[in-house]
Amino acid sequence: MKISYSWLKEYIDLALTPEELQERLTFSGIEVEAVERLGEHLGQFIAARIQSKEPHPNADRLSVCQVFDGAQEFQVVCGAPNCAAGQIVPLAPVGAQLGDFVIKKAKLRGIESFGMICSEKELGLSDNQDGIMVLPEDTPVGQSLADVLKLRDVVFEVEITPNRADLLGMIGVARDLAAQLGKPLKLPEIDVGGARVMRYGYGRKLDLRTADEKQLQTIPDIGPRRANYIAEYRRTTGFENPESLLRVDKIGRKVLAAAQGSFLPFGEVQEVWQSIHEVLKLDNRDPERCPRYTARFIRNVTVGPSPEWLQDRLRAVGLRPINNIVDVTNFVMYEMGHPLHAFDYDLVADKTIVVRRADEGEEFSALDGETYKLATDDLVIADAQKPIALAGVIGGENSHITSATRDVVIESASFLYSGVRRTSGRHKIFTDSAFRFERDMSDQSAMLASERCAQLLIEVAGGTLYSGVLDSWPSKPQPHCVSLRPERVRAFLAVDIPDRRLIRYLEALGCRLLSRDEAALNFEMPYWRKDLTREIDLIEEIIRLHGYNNVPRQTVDQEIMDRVGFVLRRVLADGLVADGFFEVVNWAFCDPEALDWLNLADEDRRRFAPRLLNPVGARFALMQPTLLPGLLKCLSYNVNHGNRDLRLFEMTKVFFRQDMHLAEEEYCLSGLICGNRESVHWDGDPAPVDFFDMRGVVEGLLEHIGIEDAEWSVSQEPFYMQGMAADIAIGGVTVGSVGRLDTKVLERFGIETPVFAFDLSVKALRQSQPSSHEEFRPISKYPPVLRDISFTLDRRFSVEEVTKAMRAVQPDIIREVRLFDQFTGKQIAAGKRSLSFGLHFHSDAKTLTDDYIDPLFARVVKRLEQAFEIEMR
Amino acid sequence: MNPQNRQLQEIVARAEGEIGQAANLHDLQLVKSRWLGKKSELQGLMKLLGGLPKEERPAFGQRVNQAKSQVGACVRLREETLKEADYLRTLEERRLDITMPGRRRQAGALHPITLATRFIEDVCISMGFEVAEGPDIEDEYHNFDALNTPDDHPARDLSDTFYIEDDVLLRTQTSTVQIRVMETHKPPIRIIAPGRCYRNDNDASHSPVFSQLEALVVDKGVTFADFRDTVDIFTKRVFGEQIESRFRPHFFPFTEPSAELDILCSACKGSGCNVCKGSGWLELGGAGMVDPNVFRACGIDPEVYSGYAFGFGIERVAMLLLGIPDMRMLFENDVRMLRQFRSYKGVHQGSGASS
Repeated sequence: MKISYSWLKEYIDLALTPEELQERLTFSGIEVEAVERLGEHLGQFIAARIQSKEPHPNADRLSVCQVFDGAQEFQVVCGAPNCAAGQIVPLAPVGAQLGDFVIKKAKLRGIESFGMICSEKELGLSDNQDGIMVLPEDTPVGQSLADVLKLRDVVFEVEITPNRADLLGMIGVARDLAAQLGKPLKLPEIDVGGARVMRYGYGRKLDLRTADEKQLQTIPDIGPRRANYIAEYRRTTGFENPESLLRVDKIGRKVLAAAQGSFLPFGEVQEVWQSIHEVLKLDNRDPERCPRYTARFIRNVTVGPSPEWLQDRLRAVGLRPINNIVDVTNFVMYEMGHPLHAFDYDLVADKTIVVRRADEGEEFSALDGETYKLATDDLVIADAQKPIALAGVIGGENSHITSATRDVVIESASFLYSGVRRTSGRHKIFTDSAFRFERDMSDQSAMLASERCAQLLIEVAGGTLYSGVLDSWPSKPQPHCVSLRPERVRAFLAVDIPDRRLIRYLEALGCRLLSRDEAALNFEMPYWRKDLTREIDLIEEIIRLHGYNNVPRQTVDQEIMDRVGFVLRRVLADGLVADGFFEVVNWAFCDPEALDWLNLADEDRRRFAPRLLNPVGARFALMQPTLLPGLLKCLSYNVNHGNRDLRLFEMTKVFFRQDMHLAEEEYCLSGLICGNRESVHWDGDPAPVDFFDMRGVVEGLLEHIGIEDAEWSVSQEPFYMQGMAADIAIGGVTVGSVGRLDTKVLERFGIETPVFAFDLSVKALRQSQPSSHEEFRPISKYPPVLRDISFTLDRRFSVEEVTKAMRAVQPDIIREVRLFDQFTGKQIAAGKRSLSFGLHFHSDAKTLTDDYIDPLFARVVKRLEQAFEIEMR
Repeated sequence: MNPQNRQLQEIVARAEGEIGQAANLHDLQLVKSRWLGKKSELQGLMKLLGGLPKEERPAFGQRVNQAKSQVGACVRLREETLKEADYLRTLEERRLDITMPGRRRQAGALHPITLATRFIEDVCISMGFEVAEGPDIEDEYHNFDALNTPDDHPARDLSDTFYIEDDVLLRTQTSTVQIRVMETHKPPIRIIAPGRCYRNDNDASHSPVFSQLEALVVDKGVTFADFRDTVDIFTKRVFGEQIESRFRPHFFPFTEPSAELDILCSACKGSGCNVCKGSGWLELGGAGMVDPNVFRACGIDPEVYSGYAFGFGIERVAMLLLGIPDMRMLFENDVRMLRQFRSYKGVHQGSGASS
């Protein structure tokens, strides 16, 4: 639904900017889906005067106008037949934008044109394209069209949730805003010819001539006694006007002044009142599907275009003005939320309105130009012979208002929502009216909408309103009452809202406080809020108005769990298990001698293991500073039990203590492999594991936890074999090592087979892990190109060095350099090796051609020759 | 029928005969060129065309072409038949013994203690607990004082506790984590603390290094009934729907009331067996409502807050869940045992979770 900012301001004093209003609406549950600034594009059009008009020398249909915009004169070629000198017209100057089209200086059949004179359609104002738009004669030349048309408004496209039928009109939205902002709601005074006046919303004005004693007591200063006197006076004498109250006992000027505002003015009583009952009959045969049907009658209207203000209002909310009668019904629907329909009285056969079910297969020609075959489940409004409307959904072609219409019947009714929904769905007719009735309109608002419509029709289209109203309303719904326990509200919301504030919120929404006792407040729900039926519904309203985001925070996140570490340890363990490793668990103790066996230097951090005063035995005297001794013990045990192909890991805490109260405790992850790479398979021979198997394990683990750029350097750890071990660093910080354990070290642990180990600090890995998730990288649309390069390299250079050097030649194009072969042998000189790499060239911007790659490849070769003395093979 | 026509029919018949005889695609190719090639008899007949009277030429040419397409169709049909036969033969030749093992790395396995720990952690996380940790090397305050264990309590004895210094020791229970969390966090607290504990004890059912898991809940309005029900739900989720739990009054310095927690023997479901020594029940661990003194030590007002804690040994749970008879086997790390527990199910079989 669309909401016009300026229309809304009729009902509430808004001190908010449109932006603030948008925020308000959204946080009160009326989600703003789009904001449209009307007239914004009209700012570029200028009211200009046509000074002169000459026929185009080369075209019959075109004319050449000299146009004055208040400052300058332009020549504009125009094709509209209705353009004439002296007119004030909307001019689109050079540079103005019309849809996708920008006005440029142009030559039309040889004559230069500097702009365009626009039609209403071109300006997006209406569908009218019969020539250019002509502005009133007194329009100031040079003013922008937005100002001329006063079309500066902000329109909000809002989503009304299906439970809030009351928000389907401007007044409903204004009421909700008023409740939020604590402002009064300004409702239109509805006066239908003095017959009856009523206010919409909370607080009713009383008719002094009909109000009973109880009602009279709601007036300030009037208690039971004065009410009784008034009733007595009325019975015996009667009132001519409120002033007559002065004649009642105990009522003086002071009381009258206080009470005055509570009464309806006594309108001018017309001499002759013709009643609707003389001209129209109503027969409601299905009160279940049509709980209320009202009809009013206006004689002798003048059908024509609506006044500007009415057209503007409708256009702002996206409706097309049609004629004053239809426009008023639409206006009232958008104002009050309740749909209405107007019939041409002359076309109502037998002057009878029948509300009934359709006959099976009965035909009905609707306003949309289609003919529908109705079902017995469809409710129709009919005259004595034929359906004249599909109830609540769409009017009939046979009875709609035309320029010939003189007398009008105003229908305002309520229809059962489920029936309207079925009919609308069955015939696929989706109208503003059906949309509203499907959301369950109230019976009461039907009468108010009818009165408002009658009032506006007389104002806009003239005519005489007949007195009275046909009103079929056999079973009036009882007002719904809900008890609210303020203590419950406060306990449920954990917000300290005092009783008086609760009452204020609910009263602002139209709830009426009937009574209160110790525990509860008893409210009567307004008829327009059928969605409020339980205490919890009221609690929702209270917190909605109070502001969901104004609830004080009570729960602070005090994350106890180290989720990152927890997940990291699981991921590492799972990665190793998938890679064939078995986890072992050892006691956390360590034999002091094992540290010697590992060749640890005296100053090695691992020498500072906490020592127990009362160990289980001398070989368990330390808290373990490394997991390797325990793992080696397990490996030895399993080898001795006949399992020679082993992959083992342990992940637990290691301990260090050096001048401190307690100790440093860190998670460590270590593993060992020995024996053959794969257990025997029928399709290949087993091969013994080597350094690169273990390095691969670690590479896989690092990749698994999102670390891509590990640096590998020769390790100095004392328990590895020289030249067969690497330290791993990430961002310069060492996270661990991988290598072949020294034969002598293994001997001390009673192991004869080659063993490869990795030793990682989980703490260091955790610190090196990228803190955020990987981000998506767009996939290049262009194909990659693969080139191989083979050369011999002196052994003093590492593969990592040459790989980096090759990439560095142009890292955005050379995406990957992958070693795929190493060869040494008789053909290769001693101290050298032959290496083969695959170079992946890839661009995000273009297809790489040989012309591009060849020079790049040559640069790679040149770089390698200069830096590494390679020889190409 | 004129002689040329008879000749045509006869050629077609011979061609079809030979095509039908072709045993494979190669032979068929030879046959095809013999009967449809440039030197074929049919092609030869076309040369006769010029010698025929003008009015007979079109009809004759048409008949020769018909014969050619008849022979062509025959070749294509035979080709399809031979290809299909080839295909079927290939399938037969390449048929795999799909019962042979796949090519892969044999998966490893997590240690039974890790499996049990993860299983319990996952049960508890699903019940809204966070996992907390604390140091293994502790001071006397967190291991004893704050847990309402008096100075002269026998638990402090050197024979039970490993010491590093006078005041520095290896924690004897994960209850230390309770204290560390309550010192630094305000209620509501809902944690489990799995971790290693150390006691100077070594036999078939005791290891000097073992794992415990302790749960702690502190909030306003926590009741004994919450305690009882949470423990019962927990044990059922871990051990299975039919495993009842019960409390036996007991003493722990840091809880009041205190209880020992028993579960129905998971081996015999209560009927009595050698696992439960005939009683039908197994002692799982200790439990109780947090002692007010413990709250006070952590600066939490016991008049405002209440809470409960329960804890047990993880090795014992692992042994029960996996049927491992001797605790020492858990620390031998024999791969012949380790490889028995490769799959981690994440839910107890027969528990409420479906699918």
